This record gives sequence, C-alpha cells and structure tokens, in this order.
Amino acid sequence: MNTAVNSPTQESVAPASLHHAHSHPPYLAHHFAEPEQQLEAAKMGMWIFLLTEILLFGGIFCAYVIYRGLNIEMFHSAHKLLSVPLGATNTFILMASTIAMTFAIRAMQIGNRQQTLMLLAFTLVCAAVFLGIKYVEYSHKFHLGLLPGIYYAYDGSEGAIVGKNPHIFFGIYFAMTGIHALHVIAGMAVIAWMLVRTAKGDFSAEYYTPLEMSGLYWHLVDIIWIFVFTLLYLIG
Amino acid sequence: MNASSHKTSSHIVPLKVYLTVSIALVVLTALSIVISQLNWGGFGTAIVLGCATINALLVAGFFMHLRYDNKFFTNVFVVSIITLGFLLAFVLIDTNSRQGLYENTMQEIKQGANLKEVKQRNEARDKPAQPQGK
Repeated sequence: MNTAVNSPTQESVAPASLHHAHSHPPYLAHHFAEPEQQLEAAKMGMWIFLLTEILLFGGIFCAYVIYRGLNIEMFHSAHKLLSVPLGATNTFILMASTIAMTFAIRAMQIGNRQQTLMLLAFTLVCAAVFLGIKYVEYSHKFHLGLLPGIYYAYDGSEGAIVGKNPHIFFGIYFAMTGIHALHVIAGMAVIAWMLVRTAKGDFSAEYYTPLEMSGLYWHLVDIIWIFVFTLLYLIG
Repeated sequence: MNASSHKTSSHIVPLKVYLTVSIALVVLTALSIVISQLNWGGFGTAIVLGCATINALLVAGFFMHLRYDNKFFTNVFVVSIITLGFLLAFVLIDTNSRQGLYENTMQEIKQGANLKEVKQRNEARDKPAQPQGK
C-alpha cells in the first residue's frame, strides 16, 4: 500500500486498522465500499458503452432510412436477392445463443457452474454457426458481383434489380451485416474468456459480474441483429 | 434498490418468466417472417417492424434485466433511443429539403451513371496535366 511506502513507521499499524477493520470478499476492489456499489458501477459503465454501440449502429440505420427513402423501388427489388431462409436461420440461431446466455447467467446465480459451462459453450457454438452461414451468404454475393460501389458487377442472373444505383443497397448491406459480424466475433472472444474464467472457478453465486456484463453485450448484439434482419431481409 | 437487502447478486428471475419470454421471441420472429412473405404492403411492414420492436423490448426488459434493475440503466437506454430519434429526424428534414440540390448537381448519380466511368473520368481530370510534345 502507498501508506507503507510513504511512512514506514506506520507499516505495522495501517494495514490492520485500515484494511482489515471489517472483512470483505476477495473480488471487491479496494476503491469500492461494498460489492453492491461495485456491481452498480460496472453496470453503469456497461450501459454507457452500450449507448455508444446503439449510436454506432444508429448511424448505419440512419443511412438505410435515407437511401431507402430516395430509392424505394431499387431497395425493394434488391432485397429480394437476399436469402430469407438463410437470414431467418441466422436469426433463430442468434436468438438461441442469447437465450442460452440468459440461462447460463441464471445457472451461475443459483450456483450451478457445470450448467453455466455447458450453456456458454452452446452460446459459442451458435455464434460460430452464425458466422459460418454469414460466410456462405457473403461468398454467394461476391460470386454474383453484388458488391458496394465500383465493385458492383451483377448481371441480373438471379432476378433483375429495378431502379438505379443498386450498389447503394449492397453498400448498406455489407456495412450493416459486416459491422454486426465484427461484433459477433468480439462477442465470441468475450464468451470464450468467460468460459475459461468460469472453468477456473472465478465466479460464484455471489460474484459473476463479468458474466453478467458479457450477457448485456451479447443481448445487445442480438437486438441489433433483429433490426438488421427485419430491415434488410424482410422489409427491404 | 431494496435498502434492507445486502445481497450482492442481482434478482434471480423465475425460470417460468425466462421460458415465456424465450417462446414469445421465437413466435414473434416466426410471425414477422411469415407476414413479410405475404406482401401485405405498408400494413405488413408496420406489423413486421412492430414485432421487431416488441422482440427488442423483451430482450432489453427481461434478458438485460432492465425491468428488475435500477431505473438509471433504463434511462441510459431510453436516452440512446431518443438521441437516435433526433439524429434520424434532423437528417430526414435535411435530405427532404434538398430537392433543388439533387436536381442540379446530383443529376449524374440520379440517372444511374456507371460509377467506374465516373471514377476514371474524375481521375483523368484530377491528374496533373501531361507535358505536351515529348
């Protein structure tokens, strides 16, 4: 402690009187008075981060609204080239993973570590399958030349696009789904880390804050996908 | 926050609530997919968007514990949505009042110009002039 460095004479007095006047759990950082305060602080930080995430995707949704308004016909005919079965499958897979995450946290709340491990692993597998299906969709778009900007080279082989500048739709499609996919990859890294920490026994029914924060992030990624899927695949 | 409680962990939501919400999410998603394929026009679009919004609220309210937590976190969430609303509203006011601008300067893009040609022409234009008669 700093007090010990500054005044060696107090070394024997300070730790006992300052730090062990009352017992506190090992997960409580020393700058928090009590675990509840620490949890609320963590949640506040997480929610403010989620606010910035909502605004990040909000910018892209805003671009979607503007360009859809300017090119209604083109958007409607271009969205028909997206595969609803693949998109819907991905929606259900991500939903399954977000539900599994909820139950993983609940399992930890009641102290069932084994169940938490299984559900986290399931969440991770779902995220991987999601990205796999995304890869299939992307490679098909690349193959057809359904790409943004000057790379657009579609010959109409799977249905003509009515209207002008269809590359705008695919610019927004790749921006939306691409940034979302990056969030899924980041989420997988976080969930893998939580899996390791749960296996190591870092969490218990009393303390599982990192798990809860990862859950908040993962749920937001799901909420954003619900809107990406609805706007691009269903409405167009 | 319950002042008398010294528990460090959050409220444990009953299993039944989570299961009900999960089933609602799946049903609403399936409903929105089916309705989107029926070509009901604007009415269908409204239902599909409504389903997505209810899904998002269910996830935020139950899975993200907004219903059970300190109301401060709900406020942060609501503030982000309101900010997004302002962004959308002002940008739409802007783009909807640009008719004259588009008609004068954006003619080429509006008519569906070949972007590769435009790019090549612009590059040729922006290149420093070649020395003549070398």
